[in-house]
Amino acid sequence: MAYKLLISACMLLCSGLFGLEARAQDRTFTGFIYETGTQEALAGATLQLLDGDQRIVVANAKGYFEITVPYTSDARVSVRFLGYAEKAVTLQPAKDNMIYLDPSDETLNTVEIRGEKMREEGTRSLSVSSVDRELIERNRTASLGTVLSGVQGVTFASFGSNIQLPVIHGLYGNRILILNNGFKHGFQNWGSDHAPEIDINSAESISVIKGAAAVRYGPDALGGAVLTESNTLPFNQEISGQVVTGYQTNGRGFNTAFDISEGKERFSWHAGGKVNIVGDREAPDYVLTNTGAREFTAHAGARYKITDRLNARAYYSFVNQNLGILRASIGSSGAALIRNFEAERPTFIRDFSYEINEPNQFVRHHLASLKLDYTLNESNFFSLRYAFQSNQREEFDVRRNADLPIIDLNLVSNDIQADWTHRLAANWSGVAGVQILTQQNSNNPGTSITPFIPNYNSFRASAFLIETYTKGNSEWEFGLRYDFEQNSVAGRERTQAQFADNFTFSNFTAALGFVRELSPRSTFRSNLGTGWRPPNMAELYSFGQHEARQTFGLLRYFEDEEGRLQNNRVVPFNESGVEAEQSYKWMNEIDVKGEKFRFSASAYANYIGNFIYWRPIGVVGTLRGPMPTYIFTQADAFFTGADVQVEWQHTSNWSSKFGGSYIWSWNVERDEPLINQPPIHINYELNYKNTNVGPFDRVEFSLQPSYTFRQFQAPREVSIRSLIEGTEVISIDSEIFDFLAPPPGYFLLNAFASAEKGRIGGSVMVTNALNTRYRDYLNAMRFFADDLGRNIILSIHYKF
Amino acid sequence: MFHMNKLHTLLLAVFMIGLGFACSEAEAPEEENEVEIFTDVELIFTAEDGSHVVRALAEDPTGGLGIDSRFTVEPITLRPNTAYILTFELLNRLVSPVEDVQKEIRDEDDEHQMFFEFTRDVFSDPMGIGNIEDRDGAINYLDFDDNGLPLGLKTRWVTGGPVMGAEFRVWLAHQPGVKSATSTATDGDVDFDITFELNIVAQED
Repeated sequence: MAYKLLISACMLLCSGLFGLEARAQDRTFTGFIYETGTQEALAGATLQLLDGDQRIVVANAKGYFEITVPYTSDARVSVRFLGYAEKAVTLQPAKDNMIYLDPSDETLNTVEIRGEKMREEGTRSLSVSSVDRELIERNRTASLGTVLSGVQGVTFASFGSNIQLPVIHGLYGNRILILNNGFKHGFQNWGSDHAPEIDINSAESISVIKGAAAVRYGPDALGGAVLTESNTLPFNQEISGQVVTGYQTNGRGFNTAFDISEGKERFSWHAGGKVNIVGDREAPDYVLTNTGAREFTAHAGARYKITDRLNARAYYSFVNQNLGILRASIGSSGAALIRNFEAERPTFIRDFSYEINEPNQFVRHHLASLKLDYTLNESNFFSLRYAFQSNQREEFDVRRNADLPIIDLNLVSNDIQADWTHRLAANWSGVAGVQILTQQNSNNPGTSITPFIPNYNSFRASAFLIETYTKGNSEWEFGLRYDFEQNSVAGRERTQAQFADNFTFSNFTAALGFVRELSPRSTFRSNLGTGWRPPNMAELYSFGQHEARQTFGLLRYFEDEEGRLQNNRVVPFNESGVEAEQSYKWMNEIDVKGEKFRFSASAYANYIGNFIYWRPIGVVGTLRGPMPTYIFTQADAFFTGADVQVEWQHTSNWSSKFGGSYIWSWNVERDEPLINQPPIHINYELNYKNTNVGPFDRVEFSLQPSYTFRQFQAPREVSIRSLIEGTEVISIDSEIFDFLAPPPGYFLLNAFASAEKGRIGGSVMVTNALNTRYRDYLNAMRFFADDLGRNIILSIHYKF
Repeated sequence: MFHMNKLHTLLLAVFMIGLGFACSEAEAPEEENEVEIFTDVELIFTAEDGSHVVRALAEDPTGGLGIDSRFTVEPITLRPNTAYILTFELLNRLVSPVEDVQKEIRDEDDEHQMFFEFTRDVFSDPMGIGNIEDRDGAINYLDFDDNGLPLGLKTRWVTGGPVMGAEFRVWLAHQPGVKSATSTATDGDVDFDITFELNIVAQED
C-alpha cells in the first residue's frame, strides 16, 4: 500500500515539476466499468478527469472506456453512474483498468444531480440547497449556522461568536429540524444560546430544506430541515484521507483536523477528528473578553456488506465544547446590567487571553447509530435505523456560586426509524415509515438554584406515507403523517415544592407537491404543506435568571382577576389554554439552468397559528435591582418572502453569483411586528478558478461583498432607563418593544484564495476584510458589543 | 423472505422497547438549596439613647424573581440630630421554616460587605455621600470580619437637620475571594441593592 502511495506521490510530483514542457506526450488509459455485485457492464457510466481540463468520457455498451490524459495531469478520475456511488480512481497505464461501482443505497429514494444533492421522497417539490465539501473545507472551524448562511434564505441567529443557530425563512430553534445522519439531533434545543453541537467537519454534505418538511421528518421540521450526511462509505476505495491545520488571526485560534477512509470489497470505514482552540475574539476597536472556545470532536463510521442486498452501517460521533460568552453581557446587578446596555464600549474589557471563565457552556454530545439497509428488489428498499444520543450540558454564570453550574442537564434520546421505499407501479413511487423517539431530560443536582427547566420524559410515535405520481413532465407528491406525543413533566417551584404534569399532543400533517419540468433546462416546484409543533419544555417552563435576563415560560405566569401578571404557581397545561403551533406554508420555486447561467427564485407564504415567541415585558424591580424580564407568549403570525440567486459563467475561469433574500413578517393577531426576524440581505461573489497556473495545479480566488439592511420591521424601542424611571409603563397588552433599536445596515467584504499542488494545498480566507464596525440584529450580543473585526483564516492540507 | 421475517422480528422488538419508554413518568429534580434569597430586608434604626426604634421594610415576596413587581419599600423616618445604631433583619420567607439569612452572612463575613449611599450630608456623622460611589467614603462600621475588614450588619449614624425625600441606599455585596481593603461595591456579586426614601422629621410633642 505504502509502496503504491509512494509511486503515485512521485508521479504527482513529477507531473507537477515537469508538466510544462511535456505537453506533447499525453497518455491514453483504457478499462471497463462494471457493477460490483452482478458484474454487469455499466453502459453510460461517466469518467471525469479530476485534474486538468476535467474532460468527461462515457463508457460504451460493454462498459468500455478510453480516456486521454494530458501529461500535465494526474490520472485520477471520478467515475459516476446514476444510482451508483461515485468513486475516485487513479488509472493505471498499459492495462485495462477494471472499475467496479457499488449500487448506491439511495438508488430508490434519491436522485442525484450534479451540484444538487439528495432529494429524498417527500422533498421533491420543496426547495433544497446544499453545501458541499468544498465550502465546508474553506473554514472547518465555522459553526453549522455560519456555513449554512451561504444558502439563500438561510441566515443565522447568534449568541456571540461561538453560538450560531440556522434561521430558515425567519424561523429557527425548534422549528428547524437538524438531522445528523438521519437522526434528530437530540440537544437542549431552546433559547437563542444553544446551538447544535455538530462538527461540520464530520459532514460530507449538508443540505437545507426550505419549507415545511414536516411530513417526512416530523413536527420539528415546521420551518425546514438541515440534513448533515457523513462519509458515504463506498466500497473498493484505496485508503485515503487528509490532514489539515489552520490558524485564524482573530482569536489567535489554531486548529487541526484529519480524515481517513478506506473501502474494501465488503467492508469500508472512515474516521476523523478535530481540535480547535480559539482565544478572545476582537471587534475592530476592542477585545471581546471571554469569547474563546475549545472544541474537540471525533467521528468514525463503518459499513459492512452482509449480503449483496443487506448492508449494515454504524456511526459514532462525539463533540466536546467549552464555549465562552462575552463577559460584558452579564451584569452582577440590575444597575450594572443597565450600564452594560447603555455603554458604547463593553464595560468589561481585558487583555487578550485563551482563558474561558464564566459565563460559559460545557457540552458533550455523543451519537451512536446503527442502520440496516435491505434491498429486496428493484422496487422495494427497506431501512431500519436506531440511534442513541446523550447530551450533557453545563452552563456557568457569573453569580454567587459561579463554580457551580446554573444549568446542569442530561438529555438522553433514543430514536428508532423504519422506512419502506417502494415503487408500486411504473409511475407511482413513495416511502412509508414509522418512527419512535423518546427523550429523557434530567437535572443534575447541585446547582444551588431552582431548575430552569424541569425533568421530563417524552415519547413520540409517528407514521407517514408519501407517494409520488409521475406523468409526463409532471410529478405530483402527496404526503400524510400522524404524530402522537406524550409528555411527563416533574419540576420544582421556587419554594422547592414539587410540581408534576402529564399532557399529550396528536396531530395530522399533510402536504401536496407539484413538480414540472417546463423544459429540459427549467423546473417549477410548488408545495403546499401543513405542519404543527408542540411547545417545547423551555417555552412552557423556563423559569429564572440566567445570563442577562429573567425569563418566564408559558406555564410560569398567569393573569389574575385584576389583569396583573402573577407567577406564584405553575399552571397545569390543560388549564393554560396553551396550544400547539399550526402552520400552513405555500412555497414555489423556479429553477432555470442555461449553458452560461443559472437562475433560481423561490417565493413563499407561511401562516403560523399560535406562534410561540419570546418578548421583553419590562424591567422588574427586585431586591437585587431592576432586571430585564422576558416572557413566552403566543399569537398568530404571517411570514412571506422570496429568495433569488443568479449564477453566471463569464468565461471558463470567471464566474459570479448574486443572491438576495427578503422576508416580511407580521403578528397578525396583535397587529404588530415580530421580534428577531432576519433583515433583508444581498450578496455577490466573484470567483476565479484555473488549473496549472505557475507552479500550482489548481488555484481559486473569490471576493464576496454583501450588504445587510437595517431591520425596518423591528419592534419599537423602549429603553431600560425609561422603564425604570417609570416614564414608560408596560403591561401584557402593550405593543411589543425591544430594549434597543435595530442596528444600522452594514457592508461586509469577505475574500478567499486557495492553491493546490499535488497533495498539498493551502487557503486564505478573510472575513470582514475592511474591519467594519457593525452589530447584527440577530446577534444577542448586539446589546453589549460590536461584532467581530477582520479575521484572516489560514489553512494548509495534505491529502493522501 | 427469510430476511423479511428477521426484519419483522426486529421491528417488533424495537416497538416493545419504545413502549417501555412510553410508560415512564418523570421524577422531580432533587431539592436545591437556594442560598441567600431575600424576601424581607428590614432596616432597624435603634436610637442610641434607647428612646425609640425606627423600622423600614423592603419586601419582595417572590425573592427577587417576580413577574408581577410586588416589590415594596417603606420610607425611613428618623429624628434630627439623633445617634442611631443600624441593624438588619434579613429573611427568606419562601422556605418553611422561614430562614434568617443574616446567620449565613455572619458565617461568611469575610465574603460580604454592606455598602451605603445617601443624599449628601443628611447625616452629620458620617458626612458625605457614603461608600458606593467612592469606596473610601466614610461609614461608621461597628463589626468586622476575621481579617479586620468591615462587614456592615451593624453601623452607627448621627442624623443632621430635618429633610424630606432624601435617599438612603443599601447594597450588600457578596465577594468570595474578592473582598479586600480596596474592593468596591461593584466587585463580586450583588445580594441586594435597595434605595429607601429617607425623611428626617422633628417629633411633634
